[in-house]
Amino acid sequence: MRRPSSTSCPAGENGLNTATPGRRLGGVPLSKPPAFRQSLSGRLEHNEGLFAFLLVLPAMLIVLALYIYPLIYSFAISFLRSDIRYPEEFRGLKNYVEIFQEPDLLVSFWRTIYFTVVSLAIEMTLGIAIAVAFNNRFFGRPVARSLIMIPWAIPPVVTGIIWNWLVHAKIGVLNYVLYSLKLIPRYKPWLADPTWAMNLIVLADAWKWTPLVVLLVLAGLQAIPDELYEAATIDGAGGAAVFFRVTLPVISWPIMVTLILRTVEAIRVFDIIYVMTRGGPANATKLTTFYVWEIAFKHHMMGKGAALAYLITALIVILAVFYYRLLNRRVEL
Amino acid sequence: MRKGIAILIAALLLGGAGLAFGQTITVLLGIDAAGKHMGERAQEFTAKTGIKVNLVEVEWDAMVNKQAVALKAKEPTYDIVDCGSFMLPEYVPGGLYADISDMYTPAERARFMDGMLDGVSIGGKLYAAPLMASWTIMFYNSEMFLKAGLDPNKPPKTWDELVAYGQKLQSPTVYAIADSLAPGEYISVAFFRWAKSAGAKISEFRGNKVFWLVDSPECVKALEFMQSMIKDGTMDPGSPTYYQQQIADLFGKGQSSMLVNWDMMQLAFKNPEQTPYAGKIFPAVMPGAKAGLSGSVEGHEYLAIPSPSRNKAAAKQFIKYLQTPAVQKKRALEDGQTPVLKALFKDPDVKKVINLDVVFQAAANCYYRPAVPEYTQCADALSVELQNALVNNKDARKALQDAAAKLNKLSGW
Repeated sequence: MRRPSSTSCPAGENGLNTATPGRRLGGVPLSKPPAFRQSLSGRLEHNEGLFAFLLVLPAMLIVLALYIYPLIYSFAISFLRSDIRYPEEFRGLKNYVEIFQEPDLLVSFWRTIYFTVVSLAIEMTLGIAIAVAFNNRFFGRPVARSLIMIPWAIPPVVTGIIWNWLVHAKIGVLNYVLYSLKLIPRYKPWLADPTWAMNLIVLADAWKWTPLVVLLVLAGLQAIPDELYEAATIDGAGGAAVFFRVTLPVISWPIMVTLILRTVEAIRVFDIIYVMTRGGPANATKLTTFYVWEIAFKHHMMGKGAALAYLITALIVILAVFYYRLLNRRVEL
Repeated sequence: MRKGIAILIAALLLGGAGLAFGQTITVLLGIDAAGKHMGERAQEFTAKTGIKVNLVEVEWDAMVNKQAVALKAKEPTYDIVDCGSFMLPEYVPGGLYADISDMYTPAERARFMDGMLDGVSIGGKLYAAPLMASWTIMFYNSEMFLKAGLDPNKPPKTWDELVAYGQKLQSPTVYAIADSLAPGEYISVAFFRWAKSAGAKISEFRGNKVFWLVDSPECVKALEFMQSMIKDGTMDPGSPTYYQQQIADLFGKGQSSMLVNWDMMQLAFKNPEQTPYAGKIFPAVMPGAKAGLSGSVEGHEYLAIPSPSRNKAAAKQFIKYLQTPAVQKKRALEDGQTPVLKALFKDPDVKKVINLDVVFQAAANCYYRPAVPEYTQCADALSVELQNALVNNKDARKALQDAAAKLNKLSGW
């Protein structure tokens, strides 16, 4: 797109203003030296790159200030002793080395893997099943499709609060139902049990994010033409064969995209844990991001916290590259 | 066009003048320290001085986080911050709290409860001003005692009595006692109380370093008792997930017959809007392992002025206003907060609201959390081991041995 030339300060064919500096042009006094106006408008007239750069400059500055600068700053402090108690001091790689010496790090890493794998397995299985079901025509489908999105629209903190109350040891609905049905002798403190606490957090996360999987997979399913199904049916394919031979290959791309998005998000989970268990009981739900928060914001060791955050970032980048290559390979196939 | 620009400039100038007209201080408080009427106190102060007060009231953990981030950034975000004495060693060496030694004359200092200023003085300099005194005490529901066939005027004084009472008070949905044993500071503070009520010495200063004695026989006995109470149903097994406000709410609704919480809850439990058992809930000291023993933890709240504050004089004015006898009395009567001025301990109105006899008995058996920079890390490390014992990952002795090793390593031993 080209910027329209100025009407108050017409430019010559060569892009230079022909008016003499200091003279009145069309009876209107020039507010700035014409040479300047001439060169700026001329440059913009002929240099689309410069014009485009000026247009994106405000957005670039905002991104730099709000995204790039904190990224660089946090990376820089990962090499510092940035502890609230002491003056800042360069430590080289000591923060990274010390992180690996933390006794609980490996355990929290395995907990994160468990959380990610199990919650993704639930979300993907349920998400695909629901999407396939919602792709069929049935009474009330528009309403059902809208309702399924509600958990996704709820902020993670609110999700944590809802689940916290559902499974509350004293006033939770789950206990009320199970006790009323005589399935438990006394109300059970679900979140005080390490195994239950972790799996309930997984369930809460799966409840929140399954709708996203439904949405993305459903979008992929709707791109499949009916003729493909008809052809498969004519060829004698049954329901399972149609799903595995027709549906699944076509929706494999949206599934992979969803998998990448959800893996990154699952590794970064924090809100639900903070609200439901604060890493307890006995560290059973202390995942790596919660560990970062504890080191950086509770123990006020920002440098060490930043180092751990960057190690998690590196892990996410490796996973993203792996998924991306897998995705490309499948697309090529 | 020019006219438009002139109008815009004039409007901006007028707006700026409006902003600069009155001084505003920003005060960050935990909800307990703020009470329910801090807004009214702030308005009264503004009416007297013209200084506006912007109150930021949040839950304790959030308050500590907000404060730490602002102090770390060395930004003048807050002019006054809420703090406990154990937080000072973390912030004072880095120069993050302002020296406020000049705030009080010797006569003014003498008005405060004994020892309150010592807790927030480092190297002879004062870094925080007392806002409220606080200790943990026990509460019991006399109506539930009566229904269980217990004497409503005799709360348990020993652990044995507590267990015996527990057998009579519990039902499938109601427990004798609920405690706040959630991760972090909550379970650590609870353990300090139980350990103190077993007669334990929890920590001691050796030189300028704290040495943790959490694996002592008395401490092990306390943790074993906590485990046994959960196992036999005396204590609500949901306790490892409860925070202090949650157990207060549950207790108020009759979900447990006894509770240990901060003394300021006395007023709330007298309020029919807060509990149907209003007037039937009484304070008592916590039972001990044997007669004569009891346990409590000190939780006084102070106000500090962050060094980057640009309104230190106004901040000091507001703090002094909150410490006047009239305001301290109002805070006691309206929010149940134990005053910091000795003169008010004999005030009959205050004594009607706060049972100071029980409070001071608790104070006599209280544990002071060590004021060391690594305290929060130590409390967190201890919390994990305590919960390991409560969820049966480890036996009490092993958990406390591991805790002692971790805590002493963090303390530089």
